Amino acid sequence: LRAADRAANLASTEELLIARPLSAETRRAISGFKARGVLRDIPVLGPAARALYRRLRGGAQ
Amino acid sequence: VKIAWLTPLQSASGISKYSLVVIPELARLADVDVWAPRTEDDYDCPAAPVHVLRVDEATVEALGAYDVVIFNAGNNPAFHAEIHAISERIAGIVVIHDKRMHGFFFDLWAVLAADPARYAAMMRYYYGEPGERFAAQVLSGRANVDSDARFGLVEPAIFNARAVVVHSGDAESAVARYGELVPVRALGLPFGLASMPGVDDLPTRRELLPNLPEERVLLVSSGGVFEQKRLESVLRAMASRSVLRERAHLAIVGGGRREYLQRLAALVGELGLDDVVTITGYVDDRTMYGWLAAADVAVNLRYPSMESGSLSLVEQMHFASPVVVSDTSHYADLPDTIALKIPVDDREIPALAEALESLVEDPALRAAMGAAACEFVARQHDPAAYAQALLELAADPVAAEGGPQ
Repeated sequence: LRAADRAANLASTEELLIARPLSAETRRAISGFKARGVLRDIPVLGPAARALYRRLRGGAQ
Repeated sequence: VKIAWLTPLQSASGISKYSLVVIPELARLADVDVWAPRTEDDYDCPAAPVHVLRVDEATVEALGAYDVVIFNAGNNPAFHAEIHAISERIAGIVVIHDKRMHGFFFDLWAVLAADPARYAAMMRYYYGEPGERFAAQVLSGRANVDSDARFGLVEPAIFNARAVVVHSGDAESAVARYGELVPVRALGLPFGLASMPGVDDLPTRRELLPNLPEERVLLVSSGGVFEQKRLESVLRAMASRSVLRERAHLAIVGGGRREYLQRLAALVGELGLDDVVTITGYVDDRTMYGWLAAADVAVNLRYPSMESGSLSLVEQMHFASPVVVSDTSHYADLPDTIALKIPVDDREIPALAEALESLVEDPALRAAMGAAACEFVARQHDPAAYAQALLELAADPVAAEGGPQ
């Protein structure tokens, strides 16, 4: 769409956060999210991820 | 024109079926290669060569050799994660199948990539402070990813788009604010049974429901089973009228999350509808089309509407069923001659009961609306016309400037 959109989507999370830090409320929400053990230590793509996505989102028809 | 068509071919995906319809027609007009992530239960796609879509440099380089790359973007990461990853590297035409992509990117960034900060940062990039506040609510478990239409999060799916294709004018409005930056076209949702596998020798109504009396009117909900289809309202409407309990049978045909299917089954019991409702769970294509062919009436409510078009709706109309839909989104655009429209407010259940009763009691009305629905699909959802329109868009000089970024 725009160079700015392209840059934002391709930027690393660190670059995004340096540009504009998140609010204290959001940082607390992120800490809580991590503490609830929702995060997965598996590759984003591939069969393991696909199996997890299916559990998260349900099978399609 | 040499086209790369990136799609899932997984048989549980409606977008795979859409691709099976479009590819043969497009291949008549252009040189088409299919690129699909390899999964279990993939459809065969005999109309074009199929390459395995991997997220690596060799794939990016190979795709850079095509005149046009067409990405099919959907909101189920199990089928679309690889396609999205490649779309970050290669510009092309993006077919938006879902108006709401929030769940896709939440799962991708916050859960799988274990990077919730990226999710929050992107929400703020696109939607400012309100977006960041909503992201915080989602991360805290205080809001559902799909609960606020303002934050559809389609943007990361189209940031590299040379052109965007949607299925309906309603979905066009979801990306219209980018219309000055990128061409957006609503081309409808093509459908043709000829390309579908497993549609010969369909099971009959007697085979599907051996104990159902001939005179019972068969109401069918088909396709994925999820909350937005308002099936709890459908069950409550069924329970509210003796005509529906005594003269109709509702079949809920399709897969969904196990907990939700269990909740529906429990409600069937609570409402005393055990003899009036059948819940099948996931069925194969042949069985699904058997149910659609056997249906007297199709029920396809949707609120909130998340998708750019509904394949299950088009299939129901193709099989000459009158349809009962929600009076919202692209469903509201259907002609009144083929669809009864149900308000999405507190009148929903009584209006639904009234609509279903009118169809159950009037076989002539069902026949007339069903015939009109079938004719509507043949006229409005023609795959050959769709492929032609897609090719014209691909030839557009703005849309055709694809290639590695």
